[in-house]
Amino acid sequence: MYDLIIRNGTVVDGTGMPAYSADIAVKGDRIAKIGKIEGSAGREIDAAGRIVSPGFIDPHTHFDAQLLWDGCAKPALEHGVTTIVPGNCSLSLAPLKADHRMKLVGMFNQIEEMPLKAFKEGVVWDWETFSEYLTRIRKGLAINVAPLVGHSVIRLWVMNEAATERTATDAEIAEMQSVLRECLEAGAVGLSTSYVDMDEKLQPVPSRYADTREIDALASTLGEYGRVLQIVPEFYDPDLTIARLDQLAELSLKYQIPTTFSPLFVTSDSVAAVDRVMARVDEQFARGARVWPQVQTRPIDISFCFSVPSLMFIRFPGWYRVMRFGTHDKIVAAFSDADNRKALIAEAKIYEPLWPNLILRQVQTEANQQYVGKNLGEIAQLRGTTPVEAMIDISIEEDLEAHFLSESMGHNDTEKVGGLLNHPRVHIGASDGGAHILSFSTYGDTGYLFSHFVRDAKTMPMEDAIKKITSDTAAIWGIPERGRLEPGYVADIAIFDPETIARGEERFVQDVPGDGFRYVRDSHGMDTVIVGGGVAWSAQDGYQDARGQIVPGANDSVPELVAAE
Amino acid sequence: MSGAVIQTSEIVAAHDGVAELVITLKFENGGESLVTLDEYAARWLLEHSNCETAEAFQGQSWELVRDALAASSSRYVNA
Repeated sequence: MYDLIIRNGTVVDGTGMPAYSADIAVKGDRIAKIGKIEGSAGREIDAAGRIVSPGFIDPHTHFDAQLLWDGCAKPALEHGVTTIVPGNCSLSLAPLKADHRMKLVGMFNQIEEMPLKAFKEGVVWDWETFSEYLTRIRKGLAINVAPLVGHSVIRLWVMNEAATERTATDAEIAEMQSVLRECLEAGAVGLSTSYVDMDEKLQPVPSRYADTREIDALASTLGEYGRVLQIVPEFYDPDLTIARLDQLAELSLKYQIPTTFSPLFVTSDSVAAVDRVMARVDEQFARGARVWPQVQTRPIDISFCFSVPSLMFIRFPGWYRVMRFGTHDKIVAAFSDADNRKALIAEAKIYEPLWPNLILRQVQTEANQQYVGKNLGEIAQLRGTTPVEAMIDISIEEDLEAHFLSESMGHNDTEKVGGLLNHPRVHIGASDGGAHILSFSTYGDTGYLFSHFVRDAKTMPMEDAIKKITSDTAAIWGIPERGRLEPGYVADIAIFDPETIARGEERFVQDVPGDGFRYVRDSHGMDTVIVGGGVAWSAQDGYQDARGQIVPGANDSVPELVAAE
Repeated sequence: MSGAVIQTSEIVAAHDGVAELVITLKFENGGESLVTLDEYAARWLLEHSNCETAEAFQGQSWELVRDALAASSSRYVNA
């Protein structure tokens, strides 16, 4: 007798092997058998016409805060993501002394756009240590969490205010190693650090004050556990990125640890730069180092509103001058003045194809909600005007807080990005799930991988795409017993329709504590998501079982492989 | 090195969805290098090169680019 049987599905097991038809039986939290399954189970799922794959693992997220009020990390779970890695970019919510809470909230607000009000109204601050934080999020956890501990918070814990003033003494470095060791013992999957991020006062985050002695010492502690080092390099500069990945390679070789850096993406001018970075990645792997670049699947959009200067308008000097040098009232006046308006409209004709395609993403007034999600071409038709005039009018009506979006402005070369995603030494990730919630949606990147690169562009077979985001990810991060469909493995499973799977439409919703908003994408084409043998979400019945785990878990609970006799 | 000049400029989408300006510097020996400017640095370059548009940056000295980046990053010192 099994607890769950998935029948008639097309199994893509996560190893990259060809898909095949089979049933899957689950007992407890484990896959019990794959093949023809006789008998019955407490619950059966008909997966005819569907792909049955391991649940996806998202290695670059910032769900640290959201997990305090939402154990599903919505909507990541319903997109088939069964394991997330929060705590990236040097920022985690533990270990954190009470005195440092607001400092860290400021950093999350500045770097990840997590609203202050959400922290104020959605968070009961009842932890300090990493272990206490994990205890806190375990309650109601429906998704697996492989948490990184942030270098900036460890530094803050040990050095207090001096964390953003100077390098550490030998004694402080030793204490940081001790704190990191505690976090790894409690269940941290590794350490994250950053060379680029700024705090709420636009000062470098604490991790950026570390010298090479400190990074080396922390990497040596990671080496004791074989855990991961994640960094954000100076990704805007290929030479600095290469220098950082060389540093990572040395640490990887010296302490035998996996390392990963993110983001690496393709823009029209950085195609050659990406090739140079990848050539160095290949060289370092050939030396035996592990330096995994993370590449996101989705293209990058540009957002703007007229209350903040945007380089989008640098090709339109009249517009840029108004945005850059005008106060709020002067901008409104410039938009309202008939002569100025005429001049701006005339100048906009330099690049006429741009305007109808801009999408209105966010407004404040009820009256203009009807236009949200539509492009300016559609809005202009509805209002009986031109796209540029519609943009000006709505901006005035919204007191300049109308937000517009230019889609697919970067990382949108399908052939180049597809080639990168296919590269054997590229790690698919960098979704930033749970961050930038007021700018764009960071969910559904896996759906986009399948719809765009597998189904439409055919740059990647389904089996390879699934392997990349399941067993490869589990292997890189040292997450045991997940990422493959195999008897004995934990039953983290995604069941979806290969013909319709997609990332879904972007929506602006009010579901953040403190009446906050965020952009999300609902899943599309996903049928059922199973975590630890329980149905965590289905398209038919929504969110259900909560069987999420901390993985790999506390150090003493990680299974050790025993050599065959 | 002293003769490196701006060859091209392009608006690109940065990681966090804001627009940035990527310029290509062309060196005397034929080598090229990409430099990314944020909004502050690009505006500084506009003001100090007496250019009206990004296209007009072509031919401007690399030293202006260096100074624009320095001006941008120095905003954060003792802010």
